[in-house]
Amino acid sequence: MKINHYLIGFAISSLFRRDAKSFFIIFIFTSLIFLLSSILFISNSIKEELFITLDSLPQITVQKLQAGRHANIEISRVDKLLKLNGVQSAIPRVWGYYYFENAGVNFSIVGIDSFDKQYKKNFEELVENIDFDELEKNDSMIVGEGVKEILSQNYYKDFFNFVKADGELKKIKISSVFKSSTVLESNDIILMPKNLVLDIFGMSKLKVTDIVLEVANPQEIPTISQKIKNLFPDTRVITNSDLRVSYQNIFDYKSGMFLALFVVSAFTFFMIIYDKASGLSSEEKREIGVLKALGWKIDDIIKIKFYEAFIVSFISFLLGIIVALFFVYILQAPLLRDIFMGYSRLKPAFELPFILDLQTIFLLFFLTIPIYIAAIIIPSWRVAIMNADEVMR
Amino acid sequence: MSKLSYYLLSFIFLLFSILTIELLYMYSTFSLHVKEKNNFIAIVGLPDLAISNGANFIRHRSYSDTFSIFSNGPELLEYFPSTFTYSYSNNYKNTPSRIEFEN
Amino acid sequence: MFLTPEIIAIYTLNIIFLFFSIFAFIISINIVMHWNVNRTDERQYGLEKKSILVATIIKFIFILKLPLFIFFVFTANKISGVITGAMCAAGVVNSISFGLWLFVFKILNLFIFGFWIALHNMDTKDEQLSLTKLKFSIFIVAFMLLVIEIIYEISFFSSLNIDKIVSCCGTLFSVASSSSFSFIFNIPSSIAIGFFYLIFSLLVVFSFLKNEPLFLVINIIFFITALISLILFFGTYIYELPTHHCPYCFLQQEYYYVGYLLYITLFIGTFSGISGSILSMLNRKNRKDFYKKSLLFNSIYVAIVTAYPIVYYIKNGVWL
Repeated sequence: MKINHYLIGFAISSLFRRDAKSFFIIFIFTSLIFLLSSILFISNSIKEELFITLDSLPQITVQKLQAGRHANIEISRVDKLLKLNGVQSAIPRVWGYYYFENAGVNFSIVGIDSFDKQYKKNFEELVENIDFDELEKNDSMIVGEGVKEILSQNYYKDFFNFVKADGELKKIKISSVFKSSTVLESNDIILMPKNLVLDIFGMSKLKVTDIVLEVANPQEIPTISQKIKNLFPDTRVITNSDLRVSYQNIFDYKSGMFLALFVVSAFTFFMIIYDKASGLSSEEKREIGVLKALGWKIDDIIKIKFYEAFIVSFISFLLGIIVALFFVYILQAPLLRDIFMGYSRLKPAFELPFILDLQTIFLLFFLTIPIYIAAIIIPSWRVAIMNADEVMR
Repeated sequence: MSKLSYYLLSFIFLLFSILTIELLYMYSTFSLHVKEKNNFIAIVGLPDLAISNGANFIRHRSYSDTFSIFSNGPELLEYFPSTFTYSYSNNYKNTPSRIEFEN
Repeated sequence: MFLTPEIIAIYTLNIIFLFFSIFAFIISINIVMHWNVNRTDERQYGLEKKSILVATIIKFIFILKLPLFIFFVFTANKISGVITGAMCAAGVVNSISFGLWLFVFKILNLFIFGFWIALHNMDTKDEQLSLTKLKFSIFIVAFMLLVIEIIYEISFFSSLNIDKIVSCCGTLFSVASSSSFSFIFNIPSSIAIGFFYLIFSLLVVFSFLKNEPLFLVINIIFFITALISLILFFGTYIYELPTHHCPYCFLQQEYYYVGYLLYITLFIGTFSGISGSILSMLNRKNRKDFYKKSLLFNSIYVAIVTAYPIVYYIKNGVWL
């Protein structure tokens, strides 16, 4: 197929001749592409946030189910789990949610063994001005930015009184705050020694929330989780890949929902374009008539219409993406990102990380440009087959 | 090449350069803090982001919700106080609660 | 059943294709039944106009189908992260019983639609429009194939099951498997490679002899042997793993998307060879530059696949 420069030139000048109409279409098309690409960009960014930490999550988590609900698991099971071949380590964990009524928020409280040397190095990177001696001596905790903010709104500057299961108050000192670079993960987290968590939640010392396993060879994970299922039929075994699937699903689902709505508006757009392309002014008809009288073939006129459509859609595509990038990553997507945020009183102030892959661009391309081109096929053919004498009369 | 085509080409070129500048700007300014985040997750070991935590089964969805990915089905977008049963008490130790009762 | 953005996009495009191709199908039946160049009445005139619409529709579908095929593989690769056990598109495609057929139909349709356009270009240059009836008969067949492909594709995505554990490409493409690919592994790889290079040298010879029927046959054989030898032998060098034979994994980022380059060059090379020879057989006046094009792209393909084992040997001093 050879591209005829003169035809392109003609297509451009015919676009300029109908500037109001062309600009109207470019405007609408740009806004459609902008809306769609913003949603996809936001969803991609949040998904990326989730996926970059996926490998650090526990390879296998063992939970106990009782009466169809999650129940605390006996600590004695740790030894049995350790005896399974391939299991490198099994760590009992204590974590849960603490509902802070004054503000109506849920904090996630996570227990760690102690503020130990093994964590020391990691902590220095994560936490601002930390004092390890202080942490070990007193009852104290490290909190996320969001927790800190909520607590200080309620006049807890240096400490917080947890209401224990039996109604007593437990005073725990706030020793420091997680750095804001991890705010998306740490916003609502409270980290404290395990015995304090047990105390606040009123849990038995013989039970823990779940057990985390480390497997030497990742390929053995399915086999080992099967073995655990057989060993303890009342457990629920969550592997790292289950988490990956759940991540993928929730965002595909949300952007899919949006897209299902988008398809409706895309077809509306299809109708508009179809209508615009078939309703010709008498001047345009004259133009076609003159061209045909000059000896243009049907193919040439269809080609011109295609060039016009391609120029319009390509410019709108570029414009839409430029505006969407600006809106999402520089303005941080006001309004739209709430679709993905959920409802929460502890909204973290975070920046959407910039991520752009080829597949998203491809996807945007397939969802927009073909619809536009498809809409003009039949109208432009109908224009092209008009007889010269008919329209010139 | 006609004058108009020249204008159009330079306009498209302009758009491309805006796009490149935008992308370059973003690549240079945004950083993901991958290492810090991974360190944090290694310590805490909990999945999901802190962007929706009004109800606890939303926060660590994969762990806290036993049976399904979307707790009560995708049709229902749960809203925290109204569709969520929580054993709260509005007068416990005289602490005020955000959840208001209508008697 | 998933509702990922990619799948919605593919569905939407399929529906557009279906809509337009039904339109074109009805017109083609009309043309095949009533076409007569010698008549000068209203109907013949109308059919001539309508044939242009059909050609436009087919061009539209073909031009979109090319990148859409790549996008389909992209999507399958992405879904493989969600489906348990799948490492790449192979696992996803084979998790459904007709997955392989979907692929076969996709490739077949690409060939047929491409060929149709080449035929159309030749036909429009002919004042007698002598090929028009043939052209539209071919489209009626192509329409059936397209419908089958679309039905396959829609039911493929709607029957994907997240809970099912599928076999990964490592087991699918191995000697021990009972999958649809296993017959390939009964061929000793030395014979397959010898045959591959033999066919290629024949292809070179025939392209200089400029004999269309031979060139057509050799291109079809070359396409098949290229795929078999890629799975059996060359793939293992791309992965640098003697046991990994998957023809999909090298479409992924880890291998610098080299698979797309390989498949695209192979497609262009064999396609221009096949369609060019058929067209030349139909019309003696057709231009003969397809020999050069076909030879060029097929040689690029051969050069790339050959480079992998050689580079491996230079680096490691042994063969796999």
